[in-house]
Amino acid sequence: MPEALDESDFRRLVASARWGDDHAWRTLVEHWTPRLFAFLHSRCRDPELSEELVQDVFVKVAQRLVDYDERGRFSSWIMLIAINRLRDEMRRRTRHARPVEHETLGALAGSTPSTAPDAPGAQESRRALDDALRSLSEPERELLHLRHAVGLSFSDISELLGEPRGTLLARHHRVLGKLRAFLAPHDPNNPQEPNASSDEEGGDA
Amino acid sequence: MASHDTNPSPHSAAGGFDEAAFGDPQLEAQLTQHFAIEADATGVDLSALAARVASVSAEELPSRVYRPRVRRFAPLQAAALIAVGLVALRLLGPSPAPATLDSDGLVVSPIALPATVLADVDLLTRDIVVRERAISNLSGVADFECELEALFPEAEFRCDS
Repeated sequence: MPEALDESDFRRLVASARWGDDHAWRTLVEHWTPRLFAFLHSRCRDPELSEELVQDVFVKVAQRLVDYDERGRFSSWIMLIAINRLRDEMRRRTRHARPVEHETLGALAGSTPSTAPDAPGAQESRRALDDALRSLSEPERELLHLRHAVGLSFSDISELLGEPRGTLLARHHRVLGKLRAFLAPHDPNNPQEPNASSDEEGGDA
Repeated sequence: MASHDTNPSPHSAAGGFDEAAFGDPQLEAQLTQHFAIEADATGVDLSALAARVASVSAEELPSRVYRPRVRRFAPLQAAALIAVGLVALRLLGPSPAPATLDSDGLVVSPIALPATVLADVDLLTRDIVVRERAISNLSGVADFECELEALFPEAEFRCDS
């Protein structure tokens, strides 16, 4: 995994890539590929489609680099391209009525980790978290994916979604509360009944 | 992925909100790990994907798309524009030989660029060539000069071929 980069790094790399610096472009691609893949896969649950979309996103970014306005955040810009590309693809698939077994793919993905074997109970807690995530609304899940699969800051998400940062922070806080409430019965360390009322309070700021 | 960012939200104090007050570090770390494991479980080699994507998308970078086109055409276009401008000046300006009339209408005598004009074209195009060579160290300048020589044989371009 490449080192963490911030917006000033992105601006510098974009400027260099525009002038034909292959290394700068590669650095950008290497930084963003895992993040975009994680986000797209978390949304569509289809690894092949996610790979295809990652490539499409970078082709589009390269084509539009000449028009990129450096006053905006690169993170928000690239994610907007990814979200739009994903929505287009999903619309196209819906039109062509291609059924995708999301649940099956998700279950398969969860059952074949390429990492080290899980600690006892880890798989169960992951499944519980998966169920909890499924219980959320689409905008709530999107917020979590942007924040925790991609690692965007709330400022990036705010610019990307066009919503005030305070609203997003409050929504995120509320969603975490929902997840806690959902997960409480599955938590062996927490014998108490779930009590999410405090987290459910306080609407969007 | 997000788990590799030491701090994915460096703007915690911006906007008057303390992000820490809205967070749950343990659950957030669990979420980050969950998404990372999900992506990992697909078995997709992300390094190979990044290498492939970088190679394919680099072909679309503005430098690749525009520069060769500019390199190829800019000097020729500039030379052509200069030549057209000079010809226009020659036609619009005072003519050394008046146009002749015959029964079919106005017939302009064939344009013969005077030696001084050709020398100007030569100097200007040579200047363009020198600049182009200095900027891009372009190979194929000799071909370019040959093209110009074909266009303006009187101008004595240095065509080596």
